[in-house]
This record gives sequence, C-alpha cells and structure tokens, in this order.
Amino acid sequence: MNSLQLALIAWRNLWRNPRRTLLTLCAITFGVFLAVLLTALNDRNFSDMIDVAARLGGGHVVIQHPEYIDTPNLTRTVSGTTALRAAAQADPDVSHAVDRISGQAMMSTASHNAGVMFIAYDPDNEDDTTLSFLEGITAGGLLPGGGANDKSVVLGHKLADNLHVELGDKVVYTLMDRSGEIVGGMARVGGLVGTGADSLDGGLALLPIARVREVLGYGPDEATQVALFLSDSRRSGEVAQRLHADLPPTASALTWDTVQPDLSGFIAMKVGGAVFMELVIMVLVAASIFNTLFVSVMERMREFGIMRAIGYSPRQIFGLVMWESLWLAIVGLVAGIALTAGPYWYLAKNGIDVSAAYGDEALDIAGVGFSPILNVGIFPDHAVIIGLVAMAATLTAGLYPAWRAGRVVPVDAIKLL
Amino acid sequence: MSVWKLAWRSIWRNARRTLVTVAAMAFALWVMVLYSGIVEGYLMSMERDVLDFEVGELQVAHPAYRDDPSLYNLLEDSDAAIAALEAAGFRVAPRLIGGGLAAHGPQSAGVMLRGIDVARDGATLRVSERLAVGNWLDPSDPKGVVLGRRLARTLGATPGAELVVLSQGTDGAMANDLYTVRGVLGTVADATDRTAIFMVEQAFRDLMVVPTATHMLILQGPVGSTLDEARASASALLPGAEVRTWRQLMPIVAQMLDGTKALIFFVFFIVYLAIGILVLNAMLMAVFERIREFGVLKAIGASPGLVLSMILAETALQLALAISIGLLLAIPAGVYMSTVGLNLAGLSGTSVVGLSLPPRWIASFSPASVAGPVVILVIMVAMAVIYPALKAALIRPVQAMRTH
Repeated sequence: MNSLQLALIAWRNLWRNPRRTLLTLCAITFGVFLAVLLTALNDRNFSDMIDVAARLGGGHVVIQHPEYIDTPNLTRTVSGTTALRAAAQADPDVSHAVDRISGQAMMSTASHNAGVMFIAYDPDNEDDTTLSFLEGITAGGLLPGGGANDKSVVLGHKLADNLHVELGDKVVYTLMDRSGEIVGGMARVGGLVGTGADSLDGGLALLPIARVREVLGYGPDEATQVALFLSDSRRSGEVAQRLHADLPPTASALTWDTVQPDLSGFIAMKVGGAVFMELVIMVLVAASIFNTLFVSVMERMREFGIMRAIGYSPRQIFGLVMWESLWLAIVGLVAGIALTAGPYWYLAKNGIDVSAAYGDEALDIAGVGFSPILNVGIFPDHAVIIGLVAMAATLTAGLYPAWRAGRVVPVDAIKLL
Repeated sequence: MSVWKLAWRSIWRNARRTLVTVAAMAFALWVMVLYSGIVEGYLMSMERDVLDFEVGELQVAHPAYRDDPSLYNLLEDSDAAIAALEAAGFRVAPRLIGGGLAAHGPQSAGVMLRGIDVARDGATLRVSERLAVGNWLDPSDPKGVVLGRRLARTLGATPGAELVVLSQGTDGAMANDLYTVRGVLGTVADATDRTAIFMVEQAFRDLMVVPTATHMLILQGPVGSTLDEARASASALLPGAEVRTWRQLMPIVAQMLDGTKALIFFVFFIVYLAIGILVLNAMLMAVFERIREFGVLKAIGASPGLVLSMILAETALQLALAISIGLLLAIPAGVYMSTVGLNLAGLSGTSVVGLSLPPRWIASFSPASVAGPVVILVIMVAMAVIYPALKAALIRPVQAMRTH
C-alpha cells in the first residue's frame, strides 16, 4: 500500500460526509481570507506611510552628522555632499539622492511672527517624488535655476494667513548660524503649500538651498542631510549598513525608523495588533478543525480496527488521517485564495474610503498625513507565510486524532458497534 | 426528565468535543473582553489627555482668534469674564499665547509661548502632573520656564539651562529676554511636546507687552452639566466671545473616539464568526450522530418543539459554561491589565492625531465593555445553532430510524 493510495482513500473519506467537510473548509477559507486581507491592508498602507514620511522628511536612509539625531541644529552638518550623493547613487537600491538643510526659524513681517520648521532643497534636483510638499503647492513655487539669487520662499497656506502675507510680500526669517550668531534672510513669498495637516500648513517654510547656504555661511557642498530614496523601503537597513562602512566619522547613515522612531513604533504596534488578531483567529479555526477530525476519527474506530486486522500498519493509519487533514489544508487554501481574489482585486484597485469614520480632515499619525482611502497590496513573502501557517495549523490540529486512529486495537475496535 | 437535565447529559456523551467547543468559546470571549477593555482604556486616556492636559472641555477666545491666532486678537474684559464664569461654577484658566524663537547655546527652535495663571491653571488642567524633571512654574520665579519634551531635546536644554527667547511684542519692537529652565514635561500632546514654553502670566505680559486682557480661557464645565449645556451657559455669559467645545476644536480626535468604538464591534463580529462556524459544525455533528435517537423520540410522541428546545438547551449550557469560564479567567488578566497595563515605553513619543500615546497602556473595564463581547457572542452562537436545531426538530421519524 503506497502513500498515493492512502492519499486517494483520504480524499474519498473526506467526501463521505460532505457537509462536515464543507463546514471545516469554510473555517479554513475564512481564516485565510481574513489573514490575507488584514496583512495586505497593513503591508500596503504602512509601506505607503513610510514612503510618505520619507518624502516629507529625510528619505528612507539619511546621511547626517552623527550628533544631529540627538541635537538637531544647524552646526551639525555633513560636507562633501556631492561625493556622498555620487557614492549613494552607485548603490542599485537607491533611486534618488538629494541635499537638504532643515531646521527651525522664526518667520516675521513688520507686525506678525511665527516659529516655523524650514526645509531648504535644490529646486533643480527635486520634484514631488522626493519632496511630497511640492505636490501640495497651490500657487507659485521656487524657481528652478535661480541658485543663490532666488530670494523666494514657499509658506504653508495657514502660516501665510497667520502672518497676513500674500504672494509677492516680504518676510524675514531669523535663525542661528553655526557660531550662535543670529542671522536673518529676507525673502519674498513665492508660493503657498497645503498639506492637509494643520501643524504643517501653519508652520512650514520651503527655501532654496543655495540661498540658505549663503545666509548660514555654509560651503557649496555642505548640508544638514543627504536624503536617499529607495524603490523598496524594506531594504533601508541593508542600504544604510552598506553606505555606513564607507562614510567618514563625521557622517552616519541612518534608516527612517531610527530617525522617526515614533512612526516606526506606531507601525510596529499596529502590525503587532494585527498579527495577534490573526493568531487568535488561527487558534479558533484550528480548534474547529480538531473538533471535526476528532469526531470523524472516533466515528470510524471500527473501520480503523478492520484496516489494522487486514494488515495496515499503525503508521499507515496515522498517515491516512494526516492525509485527510492535508487535503483539508490544500482545498481550504485554494478556496481561500479563490474567495480572496475578488475582494483583493477590488481593494487593490479602488480601496475603501474610511473618511466617514474619521471626518473629512486628513488624519495625521506621528506627524505624517494618512490617506483616508485604504488600499491593499500584500508582500509576496507575507502571502507565503500565511499559506504555510494555515497548512501547519491544519496539520497540527490533525496530529492527535491521527495518533488516536493509529493506536487502535483491532479486536476491541471491531467489537464496537 | 426535564429538558435541561437531558441536555446536560447529552453534552457529556461526547465530552472531548464539548470541551473543545467550550474552550474555544471561552478563549474567544476572554480575548475579546480584554481587547475591549484595552481599547476602552486607550480611548479614555485619549479623552483625558484632551480634557485635562491639552484643550479642556471648552475654550473661549476672540471670535477672530481661531482663524487668525495673532497676538492682537485679545479677549477684552477677561477679568470680568473669569469672575462671571467662576460664579457660574466653571473652572477657568486664562492663557496668553505667542510665537517666537528660543535659543540655548547654538541650538534654536521655533516655539509657542504660553503665559499661564499658575493657580488657576493648576485647578483647571493637570499639565504639572506630567513634569518629567525639575519643578513646575512658580509665580515667585517669573524668569523660570517649563519646556515641552521634544523642544527640550531639540534645544539640548535641561533644568537650570539658560534660554534666550526672541519675539516681537505688541508694540512692534523686538522682544527678547533671558530665562532659566525650571522643568521639562513628559509626553503631553504633539504640539505641546514640540513647541511649548510655559511661563508665568506676568513674564509673558512683560515680554510681549500685553498689559491687560488674554488670548484664551480654558474652561471645565460645572459639575454635572453636559458639554452642550456648559457651552450654552458659557456663551450666554460671554456674548462677545466665541465658545468652542473640545469636539469642535479637535474634530479628528472626537471622530476617532467614536469611530474606534464602532471598530471594536467589527472585530467582535469577525472573531465570533470563527466561533460561529465552530459551533455550527459541532452542533451539526451532535445532531447527526443522534439522528436515529431523535427519530425514535419523535416516533414515541416527542413534538418538534421538544427536540428543538433540547438542542437549544445543549447549546445554551455550553455557552453558559464558556461565558463563566471566559469571564472568570478574564478577572485576573483584567486586574493585571488595569493596574500594571501594557508597557509601551518603547513607543514613547509616538503620537496619533496629535495626541501622544501613554507610556503605559492601562485597560479600563466598565459593565458595557464586558457586556458587549458577551452579548455579541450569544447572538452569534444563537445564529449558528438555528440550522442544526431546525434540522433535528424537523426530522421524519421513519427516515431517521433507517439511518446508520
């Protein structure tokens, strides 16, 4: 008796009680469906969030002065950024590398003032794929090719309202240079930006990097950060490690989750919660499978006794029941995938709009705007893990019933009626 | 023999199946009770953060202040307003607010200065309880200030550090002065953590040249009044000012609190769906094993109603057992979660919709947070058992007795 025949008998056994088998399959299918959608929702939304956060700030990997992370101020700079960018661009995972100067300043007019966070970037080298604020620009913008002569600034639209300025008006920004001296720069409002997040709309200024270098007395190759953008945020760790080895001691390469521990903490918490929920469902589904398999084994004790009497080994009977649970796992998985495909495809294309639950305003989590449209997109390795876990749970649930079946004592079992 | 006695004996004829079914239900209930307690605790701490640490129940400001929070949009006659509100049973904390730049050595940061009436603020809000190091404000030390957590980090300032604050006063001239850091707060809320400098009222008035009036009054309503009642009575007392509730001031937080409550029920439903399938399967098996028996029962005169009530009684007994076990086991875990809680120190500083997560997540249980998971479990199980129960009740005796 080979295992192929066992597999065939197991398959036939399953369909001797189609209703029970179908119900068990329902449980597996439901578990797979839920796990796939939940994981896909998280995978997609958190990698989107990480990308948004990267485009809001320092990229997926940032090269900066080693002390900048603890005391972010304008004295902690990296120099030789052109060479650093060239070296980073040579890495196959890096898609963009840009210089940034970011910090705090006071923005004032003759009668009003406000504290702002400013980001100075190179308008010739960046667009909204690296700095997401640029897609929120509602009027004007910084001039490409202006260099150090471009004395314009883009303000958050609420900030502009609070300062009572319009396009073309003059503002003064005051900041502290590397020697602790207060320096000021004059600028004209060249554009307005709206992000949907109140704290940014009321406190963000974008400046041309060449001009800020001049105001702060930086060299032409000096910046507070070199921001790197990757095609896949999950490679951030490797890329940072590779780059870090070749950096001078005055620079360090950090991943987004080191720079934004609050965002990575939030994501870790959400993913932890989802994994916990999936495990709870898995235990319940496994309990359901165990229940059916066990009852079906107990019903057939006489049958197993006869099989032993005509020469089947305990191992073969154990194998028979394990085959039954394997069939359940396979069919359950296939059905799960078939059932998930439709909703998955729909959600991947259209998403669900949860703005009804949160209102019209943009949600911000850890300072990062969060889209109210939830899309799905599972990482392939996560899909494989779900499949393997579903298989393993089903087979584990089958172990004890299979062991009981294999241990049958022929004479006692045949006496049963 | 009564239906209950019969049912009790029947469920123990296949003890292992009953145990697995009961254990699964009890486990699901246990998880859901704890889950709803944890979520409720989170929502309560979020609401408490808004009410006691950041916004207050109501805020009063000049009608133009919300759209244009400038130094000049002052609430005139604030002393009279405070007196009237306090006479009506409100707790009132006036606040002066202005932007500026603060510097400590080579570090500088944009800041929001908050001038507070120390005694009134302490009676209205509990910000001082969140002090991480150093001391809270003291009116006898007008040059002493307290910083938000992230701001202190950005500036590299600790208690005792000297701080230069630069701004522009109402007279249009450059305002600057030297202060000493008295204390640094722990996490409160995003805006406070990143930008707040708390100073005593007089220090703010001197720096920014605001001799009288104030920018905002933070109110806690009279004891026993609802938010809307409090708002109505405050509006009546202050005809020239705008009174807003925290729900209007932080609509996203308010929506999120409501939305999350709805979300819990969704999670109950999903988890119990797995339980529903399990119960359906278990009860179907229980019915089909005994199909001959039911046939005989009916042949000797049992009504469909009797058979139906037997199956329902069997389910009800298992359910009751599961609920007792689940709730009993939830007691020690619930006590642990509501006293020690989940340690979230690793997430310190993470903010959701502008509110910081607490360092320790303490669960909170109310009759509603326990009843929710129980009631939904009962409903889901009742739905799952309809089909097996009807199947048994509608058996045709002759056919049933032929089955093996």
